[in-house]
Amino acid sequence: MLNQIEIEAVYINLVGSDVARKRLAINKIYEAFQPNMFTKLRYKYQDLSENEAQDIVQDAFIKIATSNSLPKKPEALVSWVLEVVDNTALDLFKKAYKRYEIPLPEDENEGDHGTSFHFNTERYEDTEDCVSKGVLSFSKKFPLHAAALSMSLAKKSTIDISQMLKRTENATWTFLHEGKKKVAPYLKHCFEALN
Amino acid sequence: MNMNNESNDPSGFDENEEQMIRDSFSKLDKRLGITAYTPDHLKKSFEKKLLLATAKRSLFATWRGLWASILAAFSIGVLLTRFAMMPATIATRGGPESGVGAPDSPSRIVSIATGNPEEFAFKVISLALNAEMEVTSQKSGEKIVLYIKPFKQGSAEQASIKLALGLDSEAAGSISAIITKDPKK
Repeated sequence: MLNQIEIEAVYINLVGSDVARKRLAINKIYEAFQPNMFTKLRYKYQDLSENEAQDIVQDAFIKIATSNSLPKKPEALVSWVLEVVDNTALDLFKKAYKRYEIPLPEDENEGDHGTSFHFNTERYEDTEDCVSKGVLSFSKKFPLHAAALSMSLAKKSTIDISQMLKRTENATWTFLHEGKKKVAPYLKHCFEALN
Repeated sequence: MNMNNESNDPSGFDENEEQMIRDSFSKLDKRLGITAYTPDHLKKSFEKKLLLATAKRSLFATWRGLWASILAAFSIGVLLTRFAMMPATIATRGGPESGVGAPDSPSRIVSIATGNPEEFAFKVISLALNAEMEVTSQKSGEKIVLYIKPFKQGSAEQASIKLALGLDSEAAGSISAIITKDPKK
């Protein structure tokens, strides 16, 4: 993630007329935001190969170079970058899914998955296997919550997570809290069997 | 789960269970290709993509400018013909040899054989864009053709690109650089 001084330097280079400096700024933006943006998008679009998904995310960052609009001030840089990349990537992922005739993932807010969930009765090798499968099922049903939990478990800062979610820090805490509640039914039975 | 030191954990997992969940998320991240930092190979491939995208954009701007100039010139020509040049037009009508257009100045061609044509082409494109020049690229098999302009005599900014293409400092106009693979390298 970029600090305040880096954001201002990137902004000056991005809005300036020097082509080489603009390219440097976009490379810096890609380096800083790729991990979190890829996490968010990859959790939602798991059916493509890793290379293809990385390609799409790169193409979405390239859009920054060709976009006709620019942020008006340094404070708007981060939200502008995330907006441009997010919208472009979503379009590109949808096109790729259509090309391969893969059904698009459901919207997380459709229906109340949390209360209607029943774990399936498939056999598990051991508790670890059960937890892995539970996490995978959860990530497919609630990809954004899963991405946020993954980042939180990987000790990413709340600012990182809130930027990725496009929420305030308080709303991010609430979102993580909800995620923890939602993941529990997917894993509880694994540990009950253990005890 | 005790995430970021938050209390009031609603999931109710103990430490061992939480560790198992953390490991499972970590495994899933690995399977999906998620990393904490941007890997070097992705940074490099992005740099190349960006270079090509900005080169294409400059070409697009050039074409747009060219079309605008042609349209403007045509409009002015029509107006001049209608309102000012009418007698001259009548006088010369019918003369088959009367229209003589100025030929375009030819582009100089430079052939370069190198071990890695693509790498070399990227280097040249990068130098050209840094010197605020226009570049068009075409790739056919292992052959890459770069059309670069405008070269200016004795330009200090263009010294590095002239050196890369083996041109002397007095070279001017447009250059077509044909980059091919050197079988010996």
